Amino acid sequence: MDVLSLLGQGFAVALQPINLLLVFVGALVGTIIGMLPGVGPINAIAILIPITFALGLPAESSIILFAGIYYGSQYGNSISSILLNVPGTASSVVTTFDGYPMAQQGRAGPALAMSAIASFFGGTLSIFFLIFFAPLLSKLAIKFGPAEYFVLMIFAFTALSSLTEGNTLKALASAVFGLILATVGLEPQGTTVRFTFGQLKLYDGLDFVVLVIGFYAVSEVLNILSETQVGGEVRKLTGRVMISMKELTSSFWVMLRSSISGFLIGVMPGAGATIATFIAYSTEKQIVDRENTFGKGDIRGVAAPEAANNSAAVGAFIPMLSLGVPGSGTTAVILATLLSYGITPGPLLMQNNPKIFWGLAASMYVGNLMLLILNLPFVGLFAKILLVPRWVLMPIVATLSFVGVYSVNNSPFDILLMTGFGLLGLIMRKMGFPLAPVILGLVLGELMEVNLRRALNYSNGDWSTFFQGPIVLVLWAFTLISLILPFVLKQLTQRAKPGKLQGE
Amino acid sequence: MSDRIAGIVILIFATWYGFGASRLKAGFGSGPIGPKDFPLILALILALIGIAILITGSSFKPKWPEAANWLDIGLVIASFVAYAFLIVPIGFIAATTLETGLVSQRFGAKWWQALATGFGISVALYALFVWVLGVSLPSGRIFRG
Repeated sequence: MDVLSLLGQGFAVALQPINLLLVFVGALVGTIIGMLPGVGPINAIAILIPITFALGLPAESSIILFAGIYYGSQYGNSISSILLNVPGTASSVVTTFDGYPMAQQGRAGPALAMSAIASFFGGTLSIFFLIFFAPLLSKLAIKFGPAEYFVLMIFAFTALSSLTEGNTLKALASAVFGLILATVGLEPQGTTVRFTFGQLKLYDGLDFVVLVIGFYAVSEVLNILSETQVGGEVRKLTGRVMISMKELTSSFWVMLRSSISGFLIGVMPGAGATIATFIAYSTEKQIVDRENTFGKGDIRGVAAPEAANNSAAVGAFIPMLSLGVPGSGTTAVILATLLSYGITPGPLLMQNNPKIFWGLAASMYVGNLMLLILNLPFVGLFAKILLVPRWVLMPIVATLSFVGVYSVNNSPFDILLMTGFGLLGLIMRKMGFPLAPVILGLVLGELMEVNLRRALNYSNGDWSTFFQGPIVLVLWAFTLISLILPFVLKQLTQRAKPGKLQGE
Repeated sequence: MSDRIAGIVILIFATWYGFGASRLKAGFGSGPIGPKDFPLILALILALIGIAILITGSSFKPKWPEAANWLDIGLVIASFVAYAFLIVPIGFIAATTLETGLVSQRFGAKWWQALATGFGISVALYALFVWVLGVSLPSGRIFRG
């Protein structure tokens, strides 16, 4: 079947009333949680997982909702970057460089408009790439055996660890810790129960939702509580949220280049939206910044990261969908959702569950259109949410965490577990251990062990199977490169940061 | 300094975990590698990473909260634990009002604002989850007589 008819089928899925509603909810929730510093897409998705189960939503509907939250957050995160100088999520740090100066100069309107348009540009262009690349990668991945998968997952960990900000060793430690947490409970395809300490409730393993909410949402509430922050001043949104034709045309090539580079970076496991924004910004600074206006309120400095992070968010779905190996915390959570529906993403996904892939791709067009509308005429409404005091916002996050965790098993024990992991998450944050690798480890742990055992079963226990064949060798090479690459990238990103921001 | 402590903690944890793994017994039909091998590999890798962190121990300085903030954190955590024990006996709305009120108060609300926020949030969420989304939440054992 050709792509168009498949995409047509996808739209048939995406345009069902329930899915239209879910795309809208995803876009709305995504914009809001993207905008609020401290609450990210991972929290929102983890809290919603038990609810989608309770509602009995089919897999494609859940995925459409969760994906909407993810790319929606890439729209919303620039609102607080521009108006507050506080990035809504890490991938909009770069947007503050020019977005906030624009707001200071009374040009918050054009900055927000540019951000919405660039997000739409990157968000929709990248869907074409997704439709084109994902099937290609699937065809390649069909040749993967268990040994290939095992090494691929090692690569996913080293890539994520080396590209996460901060110490690579600590990120690797986080990843292994996640894998260790995944070994709690009954072993995969076996009879031995491991590390349950006699707790019957742990036989099925640590519940994913409980852990993610504990690690992310609860530790974030505690983290914010631990910092006596001085709240930034919300810049008034003055003037119309519009940009001139001249501003739009001056940014066209910026958006195009940033979308392409953002997508490619998003596809790489581990790299993701944040790195895409730094690279897009530093590239554009070198290409178009002739008058040295970047960092002083240049609208192109808003266009570059916003096109890049939205494009990267779509790109990040490719390894998750076509290989079954996610490269980021958020796509790991979405993978976990699919797994709990009994659907294993990978090369066969497009054949066996075309509804999921094509329905998702089609829903992304719909969602981006909705987001453009939400973020252009209605951005003023969202900006008001930034004025809601923290003593209302944080209790809401805490309560949603309780409801999410409690509704998994109706078990108060899970709330204790969540609290414990929240405290651990806080300590890890403070000590500089990133949390995304823990989530990735937790999700991939079982798959990794299963593939390790299968590979050794096929080879009768011969470990050299992990070093035979062209694919594994290429994957090992990638793994090595990923461990060396951060030094190169560090140089690049440091050049992108305007000096004055570090002093603030 | 903090990195060195982290390295030591990781090393101890890896040893403990590896020791636990080594005592696992295989069931029937586990092929060339049994239930303990993957955990043992993980323990070994984590131990190596712990040693590497211990040796390279960078100048990383964590920003620890001030004493007053620790008090807040301790209070909130204690209230989470209390919540786990209270939710079934006194029900979602009462437990959440108290819990959320405390969190709100710790984030700087006046006590009446905190109580109003707590009550508002818990009623709104109860309505949303139980009536709209059909999730079951405890209504409170003590109210059922």
